Amino acid sequence: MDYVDFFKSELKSSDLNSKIQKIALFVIRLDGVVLYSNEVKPLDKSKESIGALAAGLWQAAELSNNYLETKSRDFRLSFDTSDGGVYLLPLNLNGDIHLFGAMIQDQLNLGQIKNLLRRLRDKVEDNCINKNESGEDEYLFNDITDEEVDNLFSFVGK
Amino acid sequence: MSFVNYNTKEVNCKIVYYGPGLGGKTTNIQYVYKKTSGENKSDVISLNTENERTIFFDFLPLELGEIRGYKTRFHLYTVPGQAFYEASRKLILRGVDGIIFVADSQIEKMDANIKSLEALETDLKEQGYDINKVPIVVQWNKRDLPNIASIKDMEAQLNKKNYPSHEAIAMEGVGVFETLKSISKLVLMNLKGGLN
Repeated sequence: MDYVDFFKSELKSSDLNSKIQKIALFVIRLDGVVLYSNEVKPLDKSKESIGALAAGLWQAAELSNNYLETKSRDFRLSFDTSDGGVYLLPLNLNGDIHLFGAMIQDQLNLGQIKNLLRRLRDKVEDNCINKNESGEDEYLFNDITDEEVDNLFSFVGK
Repeated sequence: MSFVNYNTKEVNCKIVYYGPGLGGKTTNIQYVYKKTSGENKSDVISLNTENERTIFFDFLPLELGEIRGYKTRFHLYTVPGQAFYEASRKLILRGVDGIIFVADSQIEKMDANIKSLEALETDLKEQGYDINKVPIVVQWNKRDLPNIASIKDMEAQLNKKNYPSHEAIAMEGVGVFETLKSISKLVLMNLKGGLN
């Protein structure tokens, strides 16, 4: 089962389900490309920006931590108050590291939510396959014309 | 690294504006943002200092039209140009599909341009890229200023590999979209792979 389907089915049965309207969930690549989002606010309108910011945040933290020579690899990254904030976890899908993130609002027990998220992440890692993102080796487009490029940018205002 | 989804017919590519500090990278993106309209308009994310010097990156997701049935989305990033931010600059190159090198045409900035170009090669190498395989275009910005190097000098000093080059005055939008279209074409023609 791929992780998107697994996420959806696990979320339905999870204790997170009752709180899901206040928890925006996403999975991104380390370069910030969003692979999955549950479209809960603010992801419904800003998921690309959130993906880019989360990836930058994680990479900066990881680079900073490299100065510590820490042996543990089970990192998590939080920027939060007592009832909400941003929470990021690494997500290993068949050796490819992604990020599983949550933007949490108005929760009484943030620690419990984080624990549930970690358990969900662990279940996804144990049960899912990653789609093969590098299937073909041929060029996708040949001989793109200048007109085709101009058409791509036709929305540009004068 | 570009993300091609055959199932949803979507293409996502990452373009990074690179160059010396105060050369016009952020100005380029701000102009692109200003000129996008309607459904395609997303906010620019800018992580910068109080005096608007980029400290980490600027980011603009740009939803373009369709090309041969594929919805095309470009993620535009700038890097901080100041040497002080070298460590964070390297991170932004991760996953890059194409680079726009924004050079400052002022004569006194030539050294800074050269150093920045050298840093680009080093940073790409550290991220596992070969500079000879990454689509790059160069922009000769600030062509409106009085004390600028000739195009011939800019090309001789900064474009030994004959990348496509474009003159620009980013503050006025001159050359901004020409440069972006140029790299877009190269990036799209360089795209490989995807989901089966």
